[in-house]
Parts: sequence; C-alpha cells; structure tokens
Amino acid sequence: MSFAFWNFKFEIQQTRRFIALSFLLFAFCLLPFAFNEPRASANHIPPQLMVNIEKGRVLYAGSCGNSYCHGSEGKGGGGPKLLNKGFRATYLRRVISEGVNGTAMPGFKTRFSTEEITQLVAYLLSLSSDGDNPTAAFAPPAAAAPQGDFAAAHGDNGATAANANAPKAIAHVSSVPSNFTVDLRGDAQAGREIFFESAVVATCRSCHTVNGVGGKVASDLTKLRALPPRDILRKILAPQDSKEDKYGLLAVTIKDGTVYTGVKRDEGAQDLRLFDTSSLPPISRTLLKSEIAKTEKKTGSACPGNYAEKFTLKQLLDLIAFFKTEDLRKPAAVSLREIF
Amino acid sequence: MTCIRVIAFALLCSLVANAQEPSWERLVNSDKEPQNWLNYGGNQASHRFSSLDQINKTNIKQLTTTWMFQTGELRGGLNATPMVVDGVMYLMGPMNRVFALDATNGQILWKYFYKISVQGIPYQRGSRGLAVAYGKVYFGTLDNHFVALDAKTGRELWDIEIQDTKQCGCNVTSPPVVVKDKVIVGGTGGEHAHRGYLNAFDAKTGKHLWRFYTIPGPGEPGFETWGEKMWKYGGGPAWLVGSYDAETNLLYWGIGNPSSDFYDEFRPGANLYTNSIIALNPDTGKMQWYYQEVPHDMYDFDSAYECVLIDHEVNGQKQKLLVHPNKGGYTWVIDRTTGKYLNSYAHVDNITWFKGVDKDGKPQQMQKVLPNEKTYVCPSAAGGRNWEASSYSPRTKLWYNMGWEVCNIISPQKQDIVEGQPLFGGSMEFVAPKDAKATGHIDAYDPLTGKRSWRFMTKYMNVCSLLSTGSDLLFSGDVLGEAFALDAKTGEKLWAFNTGASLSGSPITYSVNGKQYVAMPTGMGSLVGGLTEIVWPEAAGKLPEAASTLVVFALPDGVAKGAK
Repeated sequence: MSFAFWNFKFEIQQTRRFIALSFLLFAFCLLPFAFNEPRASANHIPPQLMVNIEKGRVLYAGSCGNSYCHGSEGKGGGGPKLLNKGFRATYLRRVISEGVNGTAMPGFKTRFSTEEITQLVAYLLSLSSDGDNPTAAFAPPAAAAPQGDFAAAHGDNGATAANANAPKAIAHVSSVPSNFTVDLRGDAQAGREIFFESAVVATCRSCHTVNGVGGKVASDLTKLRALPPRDILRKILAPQDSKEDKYGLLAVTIKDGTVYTGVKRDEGAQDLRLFDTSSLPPISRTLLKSEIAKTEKKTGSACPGNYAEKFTLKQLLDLIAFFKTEDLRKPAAVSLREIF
Repeated sequence: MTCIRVIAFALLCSLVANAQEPSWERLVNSDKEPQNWLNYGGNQASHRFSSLDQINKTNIKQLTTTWMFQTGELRGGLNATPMVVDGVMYLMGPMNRVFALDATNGQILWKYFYKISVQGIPYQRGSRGLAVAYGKVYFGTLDNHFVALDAKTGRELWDIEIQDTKQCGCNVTSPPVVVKDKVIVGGTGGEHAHRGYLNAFDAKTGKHLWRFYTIPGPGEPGFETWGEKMWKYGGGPAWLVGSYDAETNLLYWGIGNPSSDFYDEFRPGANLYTNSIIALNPDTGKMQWYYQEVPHDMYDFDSAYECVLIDHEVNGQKQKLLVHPNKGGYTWVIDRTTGKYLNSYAHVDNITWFKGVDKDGKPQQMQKVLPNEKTYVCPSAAGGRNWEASSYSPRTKLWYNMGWEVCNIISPQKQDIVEGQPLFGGSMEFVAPKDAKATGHIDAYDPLTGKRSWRFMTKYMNVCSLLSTGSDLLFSGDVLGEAFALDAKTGEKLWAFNTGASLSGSPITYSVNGKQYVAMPTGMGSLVGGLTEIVWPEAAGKLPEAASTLVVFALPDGVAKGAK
C-alpha cells in the first residue's frame, strides 16, 4: 500500500524501535481513508498531511497523552477519551486554544503556535472514522481568527515555521551585571522574571496583574504598555502619585480595636472586603459592617514603593522592557536613553 | 451530685458556645475522643483508626444506610475525608463546595461555594478535604488560594492568593495541617514547571509566616543535585497531607516527583528533595532531616503519600517508626527521630524499576528510561497504589495497605520549559504485567518487617482509603461501587453494600449520642480512574456513572443499643 510506503519513508529518519508502533498507528489513523470512500483513497493523501499528523502526534504525546489527561493515543485517562469521537476541526481548534471553562483543560494558545495547534487538530481528527477529515484542520479558522493565521498554518515550509513560532523556553537564571554601559538595554524576559519571581513569597505579581496573570489587589499593569518608557519608570518609582482612588489606602477599625490597613476589594450589604496589605501575600478579609467602628482614608500607597533602592538600573530597564512587551516571543527593546 | 451536673452542663455549654473549638490540645490528642474525626488521617500520626466498636463482627450484617448527602456537583466525584466535630460534619465537595451538616441526619447547617477564579483548573476538580480548628474551617482551593471560614456560620473570614495558579500551574487539592498556632498548606505542581512549596499561615490572623521550598535555591545544600537551571521549575509538590509528632516536634511531609516526570536530561543529579520524606520544625519551617526514597526519579514515583507514625516495640525496645508507602510499590521504614533507614519491603509483586536496596535503603540498578524509546516499567506511573491512604490498628498492630499489579510503557520526550505550563516530558501506556494478571489487593503487614499476615484480592485496583476500628473491622470500597468491611485479623469479607458509585475517597467513623456511624464518600474522583478500562478491558460498560454522594451507615437503633 502506498500509504505504508510513505510512512516508511518518513519513519526511516527515526529510531528503528519507533517504526513498528508508528506503522501500526498510521495504519490505524488511515483506516478511515482506506475504507471510507468520501474520505478518498490512500493514494490521495498528501505526504505533507502525514508529516503534519505525525508532528501533531509528537505534540500530543508530550502535552496531552499522559494518563492524567487524555491518555496515550487518545485512549483516555483522568480526562476524556479522544479516540473515535468524530470531532469537528473548528471545535478542536477552539478547545485546544481556549481550554474548557471549569475543567482541568487549559488553553494552549500561548503554548503552541497556530501551526502546532493545526497539527494537533489534524492528529486528533486522524483518530476517528467519523467527524471531520484531517484535512479540515487546514481549513481557515473561524471568523474570529485573523486571515494571517491561516496563511501561516498553510505555509509550504510548515516545519520550520512551527519551530520559529514555538514559545521560548524561559528556564534560565537571570543575572544582573554589576556594571553597565550607556548601551544598556532592558531585557523583557529578565523583567518578567523580576515581576513574577517565584523564588520569593511576595513580589510585584502578588498585587499586580500583567496579561491576565498576577494579583488583583492593585492596578492591572498591562496598561503601562501604552506609555513611553520614562513614564513607566516614574510609575514604578513613585506609586504614591497614582491618582487611582480605587486603590487608595484605607484603615478599618474593628470594634475590638483591631485596625486593618489595605485596599478596598468590594462591599456588600452586610460586609466590606479589604485586601489587608500589612503583610504579604495580601489577605482578603471579609469584615462585617456591624463590627466596624471606623473606616478612614489614609495618605500614601499600599505599594511598598522603595523600588529605586530595591532594583538596579538594569533591573528597572528589564521591568520596563517587560511592561512594553505584548508577546515575549517578540520582546520590546528599551534603551537607557529612553528613560531619561 | 446536682453540683457536678451543673458543672458538667456548664462545661458542655462552654464547649458548644466556645468559638475556639477544636483547640490544638484536642487535635493533638484526638485518639481520646473517638466520637469525632478531627484530623485528615484520624490522628496526627495518620493511622486512620478509630477505637469505636459498636459496629462489630457480629452485628455488621445489620449495618444499613442511615442518611445520604449529595454535593450536587458531579465533576470531581467525592475524594474528601469528612471531618466531624461534636456532632457537626464538615464536608468538602468537588469544586470547593463546603458544607456543614448535622452528623446524625445530613441536614445542611450552612454551605459555602468558593468562587474559582480561573477557567483552567490544573490537576483535578475534586478535593481531599478541609481542616477544622479554633472555630474556623481552613482549606486550600483549586485556584491556589487559602481560605478560612467561620465554622459556626460558614461566613468567609479571609481568602489569600498563595500564587496565581496561572503562573505556577499549581493548586491545592488536599486539606492543610493545623500544628499549634499555624496552618500548613501544601500544593500540587509535579506535572508543571513549578518549584514546590509548603506555606505556613497564622491560624488566627491568616498572616503568612514561612515558606519551605522543596527544591533548594542557589547557595542552599542540595542545590547541586539539580544542575543550574531546573531549581525553579523542577516540581517536587507537597500535594498530600503531612503527619505530626508532638514528642519530636517534627512535621513529616512526603514530597512528590520532579518535573518533567519522564524526560530527565535537563535535571542531572539526585533532585533533592523530590521523592523524599522531609521532617520540618513547624515553628520555623526549617528542615531537620530528609530521606530520599527515589533519587533522580524517571517514573513519576512520588513520595507524596501519607507518613504513618507508629510506635513499635521490638524486644522491649520502643522504636519510633515512620512507615511510608512509595508510589513505586515499595515501602520504606525510617526512624522518625533521626531520619535513618530501618527497613524496606515491597507492597506489590511486580517491580522492575530497581533491583534491591543497599544498607541505607538506596535503590540499586535503577532502570533507565531513554528519550524516544519505549520502556516497560512496573509498577505504573499511577502507582503500586494511588493516594488513597492506608490504615494502622494499634489493636492488631497490623498496617493495612493496598497494592495494584499494573505496569506501564514509558516514552520520555523532551519538552520546552515554560513556567506554570504542563511539564510531563513524555507519556505512558498502562498495561497488565507481562507474566501475570492485572489485579489489586489489600494486605495486612507487620509495619516494621513487612511480614504479611493476609491478602484480600480485589478484581480491579482499589482507589478508596482504608479505615480500621476498635472492633477489628477494616472498611473500604471498590470501583464497582461496593462498600465493604473485612475482618482486620483475617481479611475475610464480612459485609458489603452496593452504593451505586465508585468509591474514591476516604471513609471515616464517628459517633453522636452513643450511635456509631460510618461515612463513605462515593463518586469517582481519582485522576487515574480511567485506568480501569484500559488495563481491564472487560470492565468496559460495567463501571458506575458519575456521582458525588456521601453514604452514611449505622446499625438500626435497637441493634445499636444492644451492642453497648
């Protein structure tokens, strides 16, 4: 059979031990093509599709195929079985990209490139005899997605494009040089490490959010991206100048004399919720209004605000570069002269 | 006499009215009040034993359902250990639904549904429970927060985000441990790029007090066991529940596997303190000793399971044991004062990943699993058993544990490391052992020597914790929905009842007004539940549907009175 021949040609680059299983897998994947007339005969399967299905298989095995999730080859595990489900390509694309609300299924759109998601969709469609044909993975995505995605997913040099788009690994220890030159530039990735530093209990991310990740206590700093670097620097160094009343410092005195200081979260008929920022991570306290003796606005900011001492110039530049960056795969460059 | 009655009544009133119950003294001495279930493991030594004996081998045939409770949320089954304090049951359902129930009839006293702040919940939607102390209900959430409620009213007191779950890929699926004035919270993360940790909070104020990272940072001893890069992303979650011994003042916690689970080339070294037991001073969070069971794990063989603290006498000499079943199907016995190795033994028959241990208990000739190759390893990454806990009876002096004869074929694969993203590093396929049938069993061991007194065979794997009682009964349940009791001395099956849903939680027993109850959580919530149909194809179509129901058994009133 010619599909077996293609399979062999592709697999010959792999280790010998791999061949037997892949052969079986492909034979299985292609059963629908062999026996289901509308899906065309094996002679019409373009080699590029097989390559893409195989790439999808590899991505699947690494991220979805463990038995806590969907199990090897879609046989199911802690999560649902994906074998023989007769999926639609548009559905798979959406679920893989966005995840499923309220379940353990995360969205992978920041993890995988559009090309890689397409390959996963093609692989998953190949696991069923019903539903869409694997070629449907390459149909233009729903209207919400820009046309460019389709072009990228369809590119002739699909393999290299996928690698170029893959998220950069971030496993490196950030280092701060002790001296710098006027050519000093902010490194967005290093800035991200400072903002989200997980080696300490509390840092910027304990209170602030960027791109939807982080604390909800203080302002969402995603909006800093629109500002010129020198304005961002000012915001970092003088948080007390913030005009956002919403995040103003509040002191709430309870009838037993306890005073809680922090930022108001929200208020109901019976209670007031306060982010107590006197220790970190902040504590959202639900305080009964009937127990509150006094509530007063305080001057200053809940933000520690000693960042001129805490960070080196290089680290401040890194943070600014991070704030200016929308997608870490395309980091913004911020030079020293831009902040003076 | 009247005077004594008045004092007794006043004491009782103060007990009920006192908002600070249960106190630390009560939690640490919980063996003295078997009518309650005050700690996750029953007592703080994780024995899962109750001295209650009203339900016994003679009358158990008359054991019957007395009430049932539906959490109303099927996603996540029911994994919890219910807690019972003075006639009130505190139950954590899936998706962090918390209920306070009248423990005699299941009537709802209050309920609190936590609002989960993220769309994608890592790991699971079920939770193993909550802790109750000082008039508060404490629990960690599926989006990695730590919450306290007023135990009387269910009113939220505080809610602390430990770290955004979207950043760490971690969350809290097990109850915290209360030690003195602190609440200690663990978390998941062993299948994500995350650095595992334990956090201690002030039980009264919620203030964060200390954090212990399960992976040493630069400059700390043990850092050299990771290479340069992986210390921030190498997993090591403390995803289950620790044990505490007041005599040693040590908190013992089992630490999970390194990330990525199978692909290991970017984490050269022993990867401390993954797959280790750690002993912490709960006052400071400083580590006293560690004992690593599986150095440089390549099979997902966590050491996360319960640390069973047993005082054992050999030739008149008292030994303070820590008995610890590892996921790899092997049990280590450690001196819990010093952390020194005492003995080890297998609790499953099919083990391929190593060939014996040296004098310090270190596994020898560990099997290699290589990238892009398929390697047959026994037991499977789901474990020689899973997290559902063992039981120790101080009456029979036997330790009851489970075993699964299931293997897997591991295929490691390199993965990019992105903080908070899944980092499994390959896949595994569950299979029956090559030369044996896939089975499950419950066994009774001498905890130190591992000498087995009996074995009870189960058709499939057992994902329900064990519970032993003062009348030498051993309760559990199976994936087909049958709750059952064995004779703890012989392993003979004495009673069974079809609950209609797989049991994958932790049964408890308690009593109110002189009546003993056995509460059994039902509804498959185990992450490895899907394994049954893969390894035992004949189970297809025969397993119960989703449920999330607590089924509570007791003797009919006349029989209960007769037993006393």
